Amino acid sequence: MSRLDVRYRLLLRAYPPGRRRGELTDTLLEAGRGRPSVREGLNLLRYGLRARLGRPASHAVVVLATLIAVVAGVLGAAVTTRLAWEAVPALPSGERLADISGTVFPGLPTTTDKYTDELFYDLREPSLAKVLLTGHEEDFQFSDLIVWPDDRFLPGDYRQWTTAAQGRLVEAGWEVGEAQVTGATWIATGEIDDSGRLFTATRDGLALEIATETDVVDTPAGSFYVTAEIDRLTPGWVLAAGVSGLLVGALLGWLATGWVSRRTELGSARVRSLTREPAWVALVLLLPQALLALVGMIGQQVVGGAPHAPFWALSVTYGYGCGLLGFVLFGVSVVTAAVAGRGAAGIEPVVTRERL
Amino acid sequence: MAKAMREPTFWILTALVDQARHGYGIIQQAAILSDGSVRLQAGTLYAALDRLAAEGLVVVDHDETVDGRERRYYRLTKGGVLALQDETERLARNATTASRQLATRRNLGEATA
Repeated sequence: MSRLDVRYRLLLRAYPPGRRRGELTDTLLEAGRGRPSVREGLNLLRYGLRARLGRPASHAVVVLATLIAVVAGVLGAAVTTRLAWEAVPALPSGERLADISGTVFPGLPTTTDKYTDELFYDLREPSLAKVLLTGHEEDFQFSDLIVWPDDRFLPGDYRQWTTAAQGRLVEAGWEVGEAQVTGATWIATGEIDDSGRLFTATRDGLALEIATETDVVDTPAGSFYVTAEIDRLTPGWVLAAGVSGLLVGALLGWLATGWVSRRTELGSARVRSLTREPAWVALVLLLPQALLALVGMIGQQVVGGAPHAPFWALSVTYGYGCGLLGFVLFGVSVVTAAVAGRGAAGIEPVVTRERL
Repeated sequence: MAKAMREPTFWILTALVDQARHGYGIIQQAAILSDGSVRLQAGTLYAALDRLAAEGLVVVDHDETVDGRERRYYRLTKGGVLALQDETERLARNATTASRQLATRRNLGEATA
């Protein structure tokens, strides 16, 4: 055999460019291997990615690269999910909205509240410059529609109305959930003071959340307050885009850490310090919100229903300042490696030629 | 007390005791010396060689080009010999202790079986 199987050659690309690929090619050809087994493939992938980090005797660089991969993965997932949401059909309007309103509130004139045509809603509607500088306000969330009858209060029993509304929605093809009892909770007993109902229904990528209440201020006796909130469900392909972004982002984070590590591996103590310390401080700032976002991303799939806010909402509201500083610090590490590190052509595994 | 060596590391150092060897040579020699019980994967071998080189236990002996392919030979350093000696003595001590305990058990007539 004179040429290595194409699968081996692909696997060897996990290793950084340099003579190690040549050495491995020689070893594999000498071993007369036809094609890689699953075990051998995983072995080459694992140690190839480890070789990308350089510093073969260091465990700290593996920990650092893993944590940076988590942060970069969540960033990748947020970016691709955000982009994918642009292709999700808009909230209903016109006849489609009138059809939904007519099913929930038959024969009643209704009002629809729509704060924005944008994907997200931010109460203060800040300019792009302000968002880039300070992030979004705390109420940053997906935009939605709120529909209610013009009279605001409906006469009758809210329990009977809820049951009838569920029936109408089922007839119209909605998948309707069970109604939950809502109201104030008695502290002494923990029991809910039954004063309303809440249920959800889904159809055609939309979620309806219908709430009836009797403890709203100025509710006339024998009447109840009712609203219907319309949100968009997350399509499966948006999740697929997020997972793809997660994997690609994590890989890029790992490779970037390896590039910085190998460029500064033989650098002076000051250069190594200027790449290492900012990266660790950046992780302190970014990792907590990355982990919370990851939990949110998974949690939204487990809980189901329409997401109230994107899983990265914390990072563009309360966590924005920390996040911005974190990425600036990562930038310091990368720029230091680019300016003060050695050229890529000189990057080789650390193998010395000392004499005995 | 020195940390116990992982088995691939032990066999790589052992394979390099008598002469410098290249990657496949180390894999073959480790298999022969271990009676076929150790089959080093190429990825594991080179990761271990990089780590051992960083720790000063092996160094590059020389490079060759065979059929247009790059081949690099590695050998033990003094530090590598000492590390292997330490590990060998540690394993021998462990084996002696275990043998003594097993003999005690036999003397007890397998009473605790």
